Amino acid sequence: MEPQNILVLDDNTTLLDILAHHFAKTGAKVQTATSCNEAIEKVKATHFDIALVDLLLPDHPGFDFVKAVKAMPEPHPFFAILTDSINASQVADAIEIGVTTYIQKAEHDPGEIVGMVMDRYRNQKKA
Amino acid sequence: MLALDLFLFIFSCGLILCIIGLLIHMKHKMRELADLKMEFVATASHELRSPLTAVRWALSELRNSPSLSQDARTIVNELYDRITAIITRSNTFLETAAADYTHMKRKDLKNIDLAAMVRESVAQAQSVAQMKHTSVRVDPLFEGTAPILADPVRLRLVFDNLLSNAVKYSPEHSVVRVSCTQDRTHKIVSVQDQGIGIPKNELQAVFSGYHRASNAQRSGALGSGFGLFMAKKIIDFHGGTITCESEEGKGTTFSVSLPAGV
Repeated sequence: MEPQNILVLDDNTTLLDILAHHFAKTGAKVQTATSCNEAIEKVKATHFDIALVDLLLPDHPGFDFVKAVKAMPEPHPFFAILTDSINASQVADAIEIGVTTYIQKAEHDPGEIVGMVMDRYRNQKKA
Repeated sequence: MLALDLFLFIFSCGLILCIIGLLIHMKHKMRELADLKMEFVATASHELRSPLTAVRWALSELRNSPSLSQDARTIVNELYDRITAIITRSNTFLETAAADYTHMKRKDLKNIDLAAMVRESVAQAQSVAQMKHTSVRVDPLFEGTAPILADPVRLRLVFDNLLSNAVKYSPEHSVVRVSCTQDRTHKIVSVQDQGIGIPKNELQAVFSGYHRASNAQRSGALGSGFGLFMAKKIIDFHGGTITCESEEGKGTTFSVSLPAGV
């Protein structure tokens, strides 16, 4: 099943716009947020199939958003962490809260990121 | 005489206790320093790479714009190549600084399902392989066998690195094969590609750090040579071995052998 609603959370508005534009090409409705609190409010109002989460945000770390959403009733979105930070302990933290898609933004073009996230989302749906 | 012996004995015990105390203090300080270093790298990598990502993505959009003239496209492509090269170099510096093997501790070892780890790593490599019109096939012979003791985060980096390299240097429509075998004492994961291979006289140097085979540099693929150095350090820590067989122009096979959890 293809995703209907996608949330992109990043405080860098340039990256946010580019990524939102690419994900919109999949046919899904894309919403954006630039802070953890704004993203939580959007999740309360809409069910998202996929949530792309930057880790360093102005109000709270992106992990707080993932934990807050996972504490809400199911179904939860498929989470993908996007980061520019090289930090092995963050990878471990992501795995610990059940997020296995961890992408270094600088190492991929936006089109590649869409392909990687959509592949893993579809694989998870099949499993 | 007895008093002198007693004095020497007490003095020796005191000295030994002082040395032990000093060593514990030094170890504590080294750990603090390593934590500080990791924190610095995490912050520095974000500050450095965020603007580079923004430029890379903007150039990536621009170079795909149909309205761009041929001359402008040539310039944009050159800028894109330069920015990706800068990103790769910054990765090398930051990964070097972040590589702190004192953080690898026996207490971090957990029982892990090696087959599941290889499967996840292959799934990750598949999406990049598809974009390059190559495929990754795995022969999951480990299913249902005993777990092994490993640091799951670091060991995963090894398989991600081997698969990423295999896909990166593979020609279109080729196959990367992942095979998993075991004997009584070891589990062996091999990653075989049909890529450019490594010249015979450079095989010894692939795990030495920052070495990139001359044909890999000419291929235009991004890389620093640091990944295999890191992989060897991690596998050494696990009490395993990593080996490489290659024939230039035909392909390369990396084999990781890890003590089986028996």
